Amino acid sequence: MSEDIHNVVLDVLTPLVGRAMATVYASKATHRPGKLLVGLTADDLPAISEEIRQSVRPFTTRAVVDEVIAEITRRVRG
Amino acid sequence: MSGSRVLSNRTWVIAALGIVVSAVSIVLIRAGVGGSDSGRTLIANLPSLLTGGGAAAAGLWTALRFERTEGLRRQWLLLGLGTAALFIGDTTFAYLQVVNPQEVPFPSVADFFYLISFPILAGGLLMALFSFRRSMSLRAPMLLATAVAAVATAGLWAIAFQPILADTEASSLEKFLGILYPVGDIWLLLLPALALAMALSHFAGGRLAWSWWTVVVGLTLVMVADVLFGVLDFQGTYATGSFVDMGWWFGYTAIAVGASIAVDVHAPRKAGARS
Repeated sequence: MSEDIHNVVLDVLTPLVGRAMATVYASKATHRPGKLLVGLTADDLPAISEEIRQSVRPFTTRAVVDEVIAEITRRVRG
Repeated sequence: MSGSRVLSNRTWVIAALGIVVSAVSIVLIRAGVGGSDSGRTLIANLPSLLTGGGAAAAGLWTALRFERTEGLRRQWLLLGLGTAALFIGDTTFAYLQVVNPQEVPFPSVADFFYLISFPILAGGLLMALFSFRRSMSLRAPMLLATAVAAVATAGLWAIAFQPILADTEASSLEKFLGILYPVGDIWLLLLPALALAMALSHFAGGRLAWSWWTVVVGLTLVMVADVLFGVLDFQGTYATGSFVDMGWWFGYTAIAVGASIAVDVHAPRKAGARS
């Protein structure tokens, strides 16, 4: 599950911000809960989502950020 | 987020219209359609007016598509207003040229609108640039763009500024404006556009950067056309409708396309909605 979360974040962000910035944002987001990647669970999604929001929000709309977070949540929980 | 088509039909139509208007205009201008001097002058100015008006309308329309709280609204409002100032300047210039094709006064009311477009467009570009400041340091892009602007200014010193200053027939105001235009182009358009392009290079392949890439290309074309116009006009070899004007036509078209792309990628359509 944990490695999946990092990959899901990377997959969802890559088409929007490119691979390089997606890697940066995914790394920051999945370190936000203060755990090792292997320890991440769906319960950490709020912290991860908040980090993504803070990273991406300045240069896009709230609608896009909400859609990104909804897609990550759907794929992690689904 | 799904892999559905990102660009709307509207964006493709705007791009196609810009290309068609430019191509038809080239044919009409080369064929000398228009009859009298005034008629030919009007035909030669039409593509700038159509593409410039389209870019201004697209920029302002895009700004209004975003909510008041969105930074993109303010960025596109400035780009729309800056392009509108260029459009009003072009319209005024075309009117003066049609009324008297032999001698357009310089400076004129058109110059006021051209000159105020610089800080407005620069404001829009800088706001877009600073929206990426949380993601990366902007020091390197700003320093590099400043260095390029300084080199470009030095290059123009020999090509354009010295001949302008040495001209004994031009008034002090004409000399001042003759230098102010390229300086404004380089420091208020090229510099922020280049810095923005360098910031965008980190987002290679990401669609949230597409609209800004298109705007950077458009404003660079406008800037190059401006500088060439300044040099050729001073030499007395510029004619409305010449190849230089294509920089404005395609530049304005690119800005309009960028505005439409901004709506496509930052204001995602609901599933099943039509463009």
